Amino acid sequence: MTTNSAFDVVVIGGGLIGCATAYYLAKGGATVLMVEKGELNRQASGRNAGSLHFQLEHRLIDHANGALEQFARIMPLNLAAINDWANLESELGTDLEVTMDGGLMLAETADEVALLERKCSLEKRWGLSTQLLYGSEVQKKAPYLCDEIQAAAFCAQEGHANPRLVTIALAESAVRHGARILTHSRVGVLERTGREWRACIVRDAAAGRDEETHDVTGGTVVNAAGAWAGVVAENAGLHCPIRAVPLLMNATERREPFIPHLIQHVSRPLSVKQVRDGNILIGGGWPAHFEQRHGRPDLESRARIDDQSILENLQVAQRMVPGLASFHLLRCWTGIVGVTADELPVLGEVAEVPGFVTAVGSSGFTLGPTYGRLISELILTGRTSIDIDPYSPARFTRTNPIKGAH
Amino acid sequence: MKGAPAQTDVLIIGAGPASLAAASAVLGHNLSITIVDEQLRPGGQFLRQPPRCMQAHNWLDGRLYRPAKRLLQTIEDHPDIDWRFGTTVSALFPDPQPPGIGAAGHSVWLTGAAGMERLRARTVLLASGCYERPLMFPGWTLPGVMGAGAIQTLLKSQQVVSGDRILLVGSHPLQLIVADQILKAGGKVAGVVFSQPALAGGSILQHPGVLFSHFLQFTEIARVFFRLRRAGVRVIFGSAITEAKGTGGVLAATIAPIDSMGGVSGTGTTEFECDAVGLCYGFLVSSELARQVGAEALWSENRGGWLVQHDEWMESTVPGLFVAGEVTGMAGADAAIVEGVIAGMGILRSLGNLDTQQAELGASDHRRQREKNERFARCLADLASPPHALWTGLMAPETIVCRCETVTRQELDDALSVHTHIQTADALKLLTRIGMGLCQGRLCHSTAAQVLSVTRKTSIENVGSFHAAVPARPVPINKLTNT
Repeated sequence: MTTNSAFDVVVIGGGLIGCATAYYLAKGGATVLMVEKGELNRQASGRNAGSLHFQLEHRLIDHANGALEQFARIMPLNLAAINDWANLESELGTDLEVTMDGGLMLAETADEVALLERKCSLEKRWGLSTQLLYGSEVQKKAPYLCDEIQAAAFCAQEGHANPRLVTIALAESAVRHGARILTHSRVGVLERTGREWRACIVRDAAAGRDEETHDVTGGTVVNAAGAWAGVVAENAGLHCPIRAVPLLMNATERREPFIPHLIQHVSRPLSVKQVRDGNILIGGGWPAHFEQRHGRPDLESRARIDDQSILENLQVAQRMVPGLASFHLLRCWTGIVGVTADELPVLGEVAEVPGFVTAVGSSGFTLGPTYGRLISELILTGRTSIDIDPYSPARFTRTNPIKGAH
Repeated sequence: MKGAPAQTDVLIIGAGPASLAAASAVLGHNLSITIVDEQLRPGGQFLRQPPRCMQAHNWLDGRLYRPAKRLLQTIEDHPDIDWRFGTTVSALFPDPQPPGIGAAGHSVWLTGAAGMERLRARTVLLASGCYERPLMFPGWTLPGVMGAGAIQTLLKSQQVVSGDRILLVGSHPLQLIVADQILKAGGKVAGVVFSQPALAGGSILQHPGVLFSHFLQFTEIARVFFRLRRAGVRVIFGSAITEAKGTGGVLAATIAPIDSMGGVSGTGTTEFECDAVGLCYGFLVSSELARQVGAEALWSENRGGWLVQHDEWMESTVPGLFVAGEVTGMAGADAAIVEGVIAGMGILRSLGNLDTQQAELGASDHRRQREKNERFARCLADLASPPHALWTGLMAPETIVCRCETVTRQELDDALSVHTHIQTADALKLLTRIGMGLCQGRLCHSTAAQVLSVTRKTSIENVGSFHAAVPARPVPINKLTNT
């Protein structure tokens, strides 16, 4: 930190979105400092199951009819993400275990089939082609599924990538393009002075040195702190309406490949996939619990596992994929994601606070590289290749002002 | 899923000496007691029993086994205890609605042949013991390279000798006892190799109090030592194993002298013909279940790794979770029995069956004994440990560290030199898959942490442990869903 303390952009958060943003910015010629309070890729970015899902998810569908239309506004980002993921390995020149062999969203009852049909026609209007399969067509496509499935929506581009690798590869590529990364460092107070932001950075004490404090400046600050984005915004005197939600993941032992697809369910939280190493990852958004500290949820501790969540998640997974029955459950863990009230991401800045850009929310893994690319376009050129106005933080200014002290 | 989970007042995890002592202390207070163990009979590893259908002649007739055997005889088959053998505690959870007033409460997943059962417990005693600590060197994954304790277990429980010609290498005096038992069972011992210099054993004379209080242990070890000498077994000091050779199985092992830095120079090596190698470099405690619920654990290189911290009643930092035996620090069976009694008193006190004064009365003699045991254990731990540098100094680049996921030392070194941001064992695990396999990192966690701490020049506490995840052992999904 002794050499240079002035950057074009200071990115806060060493997860997928922060690393993608840092990468695209550095590649575009900006001087970038990325600051992470712990280690890279250690929160939701490295703990999610790596689904690449482009169909509208169960949690979006499972609302009243009007809301589905509202949630469908995510679709332009999903479509962009299909391309971003298809190109990411060649973009970074490394293997990320990206697999896009298709995903199936399952329906077991007549009501669920109707829901699936309505969802598909809505997606078609937004330009995503999903194929509806019925009865034996499902079995033909995916013989490992149970016989009771009445219909499935097949999206050919869905799949998965390895969350252990993606964020790290983006970070390394960012460094190759000149970005600086500081881990075990927290951003304290953020102040706007003139045309730039001044950030106070506190680096944790470690072997052989005490805690260190530095001031850096950045023309732009990017808040990519995921579930912690609210804390970062507060340090800038702003409000970011993001809610931290702890979720469960499960992994089984490794076996020969037999599930080539991403499996989801139209009305139950479920995701099932088999990674290249042979483990089956089972998740889909089952709840965990925050530890409490001084009577408040503790975001600094790992969220506590809910045993009922594990059992129900496994039950649904085993019902859909009966072959899972004999697999050994190897490991369960939790991660904390950041969620907005309307399930859409918060992307961009508000006119009143120039240079404070937010990039959080929605499906952070599937959409992370796309957020990073769009935010870098915004910062480097002032415009984006996809209209991000629907995701602007400005939509919260009236009810829940994102602009505070400034 | 069955109906509402069953409840118990005292759940004891493990059926070794500490557990049996705790159960004895708690019996007679009108409390429901459940003891869970993966084996089919009580006794733990120390008193590993043969199956009921088998008779072992002169089973554990050594003097060291007598106190624990007496305890086992009084409590085995006790009708007031709900014994759950062949059963694993797959997970421990804090109970959101604890049964009973004032109880903290936990719930557990018990998995056995019949499936999974959830059990709610007002108090839990974790006395899950320890397992052998592997030392990693070229060839350590060859069939025939075993823990000396595993060789002993096969002898105790099945009367099976693990090879035709067994070489014992290590730092712990247990290997003398195992060598003696191999000879008694009709096996051949190629040699016993200690990492300590020959005179290290004499340093115990600097602790006369310990020598006096644990005279039996020392005389027993001395007796065994001379018996081995008489039988013509070579006992070598100041050396370590540097390679196990063979394809598909051990054919020979190389021994090299340890230098003053605690490493091996590779000169002056000796080769032993043998078809089995027993490693006896100490133990790691099974503290996973305690760490799963967030009990504080501190690292101790010589006492067994991540030791569960506790108060004077053996209660961990998680209310309602008590610990006894090796999980608090390697100290042996006699010490485990003493801790079991203190924990029993602590449990009775926390459940309101005894007031503090009564519990103190029941615990005070054992507390004094525990202090003596601790002095002995600390002495033994220092005497019985290899030089620090040996843990990370014997591996070749291609030596496998994580055998479940086939992660080599070279892969770890590469990951750490490329990814300079990695500071914790968990981050190393996420990047390299080390510790992600079926043994859930039990075998590699200490080596991974030590490689990381040496490379980053930081302490094991800073590096941390692999997160102790649910389930504690792999469990088939259909057992959990009871389908």
